[in-house]
Amino acid sequence: MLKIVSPVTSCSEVKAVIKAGADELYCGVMPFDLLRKYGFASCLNRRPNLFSNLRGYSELEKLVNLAHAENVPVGLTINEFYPQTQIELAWEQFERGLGCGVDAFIISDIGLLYRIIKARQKNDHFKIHISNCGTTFNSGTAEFYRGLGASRIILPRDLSIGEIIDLAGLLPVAMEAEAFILNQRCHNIDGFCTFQHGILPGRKIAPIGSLGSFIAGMMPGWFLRFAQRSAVENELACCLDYEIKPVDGSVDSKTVNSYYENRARSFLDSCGACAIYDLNAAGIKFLKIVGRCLASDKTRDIRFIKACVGLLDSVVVRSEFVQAVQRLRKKFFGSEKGCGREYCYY
Amino acid sequence: MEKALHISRLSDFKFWRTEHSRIYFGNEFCDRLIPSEEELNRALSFAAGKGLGFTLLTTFCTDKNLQSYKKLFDFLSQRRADAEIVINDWGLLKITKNYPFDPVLGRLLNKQKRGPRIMGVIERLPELVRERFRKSGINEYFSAFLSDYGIKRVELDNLLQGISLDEFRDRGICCSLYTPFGYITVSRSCPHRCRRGLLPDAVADCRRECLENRYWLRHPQMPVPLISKGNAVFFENKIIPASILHERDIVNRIVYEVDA
Repeated sequence: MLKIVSPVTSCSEVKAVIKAGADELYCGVMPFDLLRKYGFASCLNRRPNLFSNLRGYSELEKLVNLAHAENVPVGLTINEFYPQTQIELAWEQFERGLGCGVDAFIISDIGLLYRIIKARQKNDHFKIHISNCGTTFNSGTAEFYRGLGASRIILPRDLSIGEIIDLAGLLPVAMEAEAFILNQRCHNIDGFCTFQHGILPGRKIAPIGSLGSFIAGMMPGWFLRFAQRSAVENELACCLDYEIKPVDGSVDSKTVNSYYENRARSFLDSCGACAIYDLNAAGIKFLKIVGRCLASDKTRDIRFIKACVGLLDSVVVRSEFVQAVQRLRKKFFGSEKGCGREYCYY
Repeated sequence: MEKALHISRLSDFKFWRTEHSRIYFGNEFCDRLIPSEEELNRALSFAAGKGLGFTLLTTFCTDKNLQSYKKLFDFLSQRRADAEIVINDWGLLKITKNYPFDPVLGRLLNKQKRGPRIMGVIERLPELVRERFRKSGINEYFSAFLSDYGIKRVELDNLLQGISLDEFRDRGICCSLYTPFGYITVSRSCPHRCRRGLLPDAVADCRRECLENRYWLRHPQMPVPLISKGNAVFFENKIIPASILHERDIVNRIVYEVDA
């Protein structure tokens, strides 16, 4: 049975997301002392804002205890890449997470992995999951990470279903695979993209750790969603509406227009639910909902994916499955989130 | 200082000058641009004819193209056992270990922070944070990993915000510096062939037109124009800081990318 891996950003969400059907949780931590020292560059998990993260380790420990009371494991994302100035901070976060009882660590930095494997004791029970930023595009890379102690890879969003099926069939023994299933797909490869998020236009830096994040936390959900959509579409470097001009003036306008149209944008509302049928057949065991940074209703996302997974018990024919999923998408999200080719992950 | 010429097309050999003592051939960003055996053979012949060192550029790839690379490596090992392989995929690193080549850590894996918008704020950041953006991701444990895997060279982009090389000092790692283009991001949703949102399964008819067409991407929020080449986006930085050129124990090679 496919399991649903859900984001959480506060203890208050834990019971609700588990009740909605989450089988595993994942979260990040952004401690205040780190924030004071580094500002937005302090983020150790690629979500450089407070409302995507727990504020400290006491909150993490409480969250883990709440989840464990329901027999639900918790993963901690420490999935940035760390220069020398930050590797110790990442290591500290790993150790503190271990102390809080975290079940799995979601990692992409080779140095951090290497340090963990060197320090790992035989009786350590934590698991290592390779973030999609680990860019596992082939079984050789999965084997490589297996050699560094990983037991799960989170597949990049950039593999097609056909490629996922090929890769899943060649995975090393005891290596699990997790696939993204809902929200926020960028056309750039996450693990290879070096645009900095958290830097806003007009020489401003995202108001992390400042009044801005506090105010954001107080806002009603609908307003936050509106503000977030506006921020993503107008401010992320990958989404900017660039003026495009050929370097070589001899390129015809039709080619230029085609290039412009083909440059896909990032989509907050992306969805891979129709692919659940194929992912299940390929042997993928875990479906990841994106959303640490999203002001969306996490329980609705989970219930939607749970309902889609439930269809596998009753719908045998692939085309019927896809149609049923599309009906569910409409039922759960109405006109708020569209359904069509440009929303598809896969 | 060694100078190398970086090309993806055979026709770009016309840019070779006698100062270039090494050829970089291949592609780092798209597995549809993996050279054929014939193309590799011609590149090798050119390098052999001029007495040049040879470096094969490789990209990240799916299982299907791991096999393509294995075949190329078989061929290359017969012709140039002393070749370097620029690695941008950990699975490919495992395969390379079965061959006599020298593996080199590619630009996709060095984890430098390259987004040009940092230039709009960097002067206002604390020195500790500024330094973070000048460093690569080669921390001391990553460095130990490189050493254990026999990687003695790292490829670096010439960052707009400057480069800090401290992490390479006394670690037995040399670096190559690329100019004039620094890669920022890369996509598998090819802007030349994929309709919006479609992934590479849909690109059955790649005609490599990306090698011919390049685009400027300009936006008021971006402090410098970006250049779209193939499925990747780059910034341009032609100025190599003198401080880098003085660090010859660390940066001992400049890789000139064809600017055409």
